[in-house]
Amino acid sequence: MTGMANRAKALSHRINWVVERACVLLLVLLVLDVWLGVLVRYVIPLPLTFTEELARYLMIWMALLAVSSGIVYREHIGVEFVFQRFPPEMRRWLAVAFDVIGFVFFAALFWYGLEFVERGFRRMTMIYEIPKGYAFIGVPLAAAMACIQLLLTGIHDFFAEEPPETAGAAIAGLDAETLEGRED
Amino acid sequence: MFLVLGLFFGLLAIGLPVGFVIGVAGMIGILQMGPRFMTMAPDRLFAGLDLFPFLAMPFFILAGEIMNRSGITMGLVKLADALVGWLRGGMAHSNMVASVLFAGITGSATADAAAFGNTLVPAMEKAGYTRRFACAVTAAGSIIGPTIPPSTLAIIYGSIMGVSIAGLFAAGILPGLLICIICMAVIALLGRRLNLPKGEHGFDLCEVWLALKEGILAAILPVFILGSILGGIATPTEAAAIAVAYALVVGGLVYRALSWRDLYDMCVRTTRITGVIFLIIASATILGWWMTFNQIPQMIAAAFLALSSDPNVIIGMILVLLLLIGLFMDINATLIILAPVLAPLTLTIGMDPVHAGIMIILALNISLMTPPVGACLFVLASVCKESVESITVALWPFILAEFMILLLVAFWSDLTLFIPRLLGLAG
Repeated sequence: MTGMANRAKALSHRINWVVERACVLLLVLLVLDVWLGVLVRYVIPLPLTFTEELARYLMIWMALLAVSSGIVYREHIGVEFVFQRFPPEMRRWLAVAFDVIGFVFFAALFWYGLEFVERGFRRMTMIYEIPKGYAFIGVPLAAAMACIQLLLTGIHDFFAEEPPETAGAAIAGLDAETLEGRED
Repeated sequence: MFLVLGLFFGLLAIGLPVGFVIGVAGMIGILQMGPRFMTMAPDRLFAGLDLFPFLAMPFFILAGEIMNRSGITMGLVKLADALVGWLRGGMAHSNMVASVLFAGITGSATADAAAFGNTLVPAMEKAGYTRRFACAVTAAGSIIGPTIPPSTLAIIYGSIMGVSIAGLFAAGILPGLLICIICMAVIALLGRRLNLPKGEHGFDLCEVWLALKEGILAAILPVFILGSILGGIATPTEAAAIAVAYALVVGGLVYRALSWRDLYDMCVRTTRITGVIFLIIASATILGWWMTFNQIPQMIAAAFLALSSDPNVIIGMILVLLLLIGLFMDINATLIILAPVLAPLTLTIGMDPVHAGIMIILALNISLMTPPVGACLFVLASVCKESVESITVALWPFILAEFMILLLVAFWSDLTLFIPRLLGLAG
């Protein structure tokens, strides 16, 4: 059965490979966009007004897409104090239950997000006057990616030989490598 | 309402990630109101993130990553050591001073705790300090980072409550420095009793000068960031974007310590950390909308005012509430959910919005290092392989000192508002 767990993990990492690159691209565009905004405000006075609006949407897309990456590496912050003290088998069942709860949450967000996008096409952005729906697509898209990753993580948690040690991270960005940093 | 509350605390306690817990609770609350309200969930989620000042957060995270990875910040540790390392308990003192110097670059207590836990705690142990004392000092110092600007909590509070972020930044400076000074006093008092080792070197002005020269490139950045924001020249977002540019130029061209691969890895980490924090913020906005719709903030405010109308008692109750909730819930989420409840209450009793903001932020920061489940404590326990109970034994004098500072900040508004008033950022 570990074969199933490994396959789920491999697929999850392959999908995340693409998402991660998309997020980095969005971050780079975001940095360049705000630099451009600073440049036209302080150095070269050009009538560029789109930078602020674009920056907000780039940031939201980047952050929301990165939510699924956080799921892959179990980096979403949780109160680990109790979870880590449960016996291994209990941890496995709890982790699977968490994956299911998360899946239902993001599935609902995806479903109602579609309606939100549809309505968004009837609203225009403040500065550029393009339909807000384009920016809103980020919500159901990110929710769908999160659902896919939670499904794969759930399969992995269920079939893996070892139950997970943690359900999330104690802090944002603190990965297992850092936690294992100390040698006794 | 009780279903939402029960779910919230139950799921949180057994370890479901905070962002999910808040989102699920908010959605169930909305579902109870009727399915036709459900599109409010994605709507609020998006609106909760659609704030220009929030851009400063990923930029400060990225700038901090670049500064750390390229080794620029290690110069700050050397500078701290040259300044106070010669005292009894010198490494503990320099841990505190380094926290202040780092504070101007990163805005996260837990990130500082993890970084110092991996570097300074082993170094202190080697020099003869007990591991639990080294962890306790690091935990106590870690909350200086998010108190002194740039602070993530100040950005969030300012954005959602419409309070000047520059004002909050300015107001955080003195309390942050005070934490450092008082904690150093605690170390000095404990020095003889615990027989803390003396520094290996005496005070040497030449050494300070050399360390300053080495660390100057890192030390300039916070001065520049603060100067431009507090002087009203740049917005926090612009200053943060320029900080990224500065870190890239110094790390890449001056120190030549950055490869493309490093840069890519730092970008990936920045996006993931941002994703984690922003999910919490977005979910908290959903729950916050449900609370507002059901007039829960008004109910809580009424309950507070029913107990007492004395401003001092109300401030006391606010602090207890924040310290208790911040203990087991992510502080970003606590801030987003509770700020709209508490800020009007502080206005009712006549507190200045900037003063109230910094009091709330400091209380939440202190909750990070409060046993048994404060996040900084948990991180240090994990990173340093020391039990929470053991660190707590060494930590209590520092907790006591920081509680005193919190009371000072809460009840003596001039302390907090001195710098903002000087800069014309508070009334």
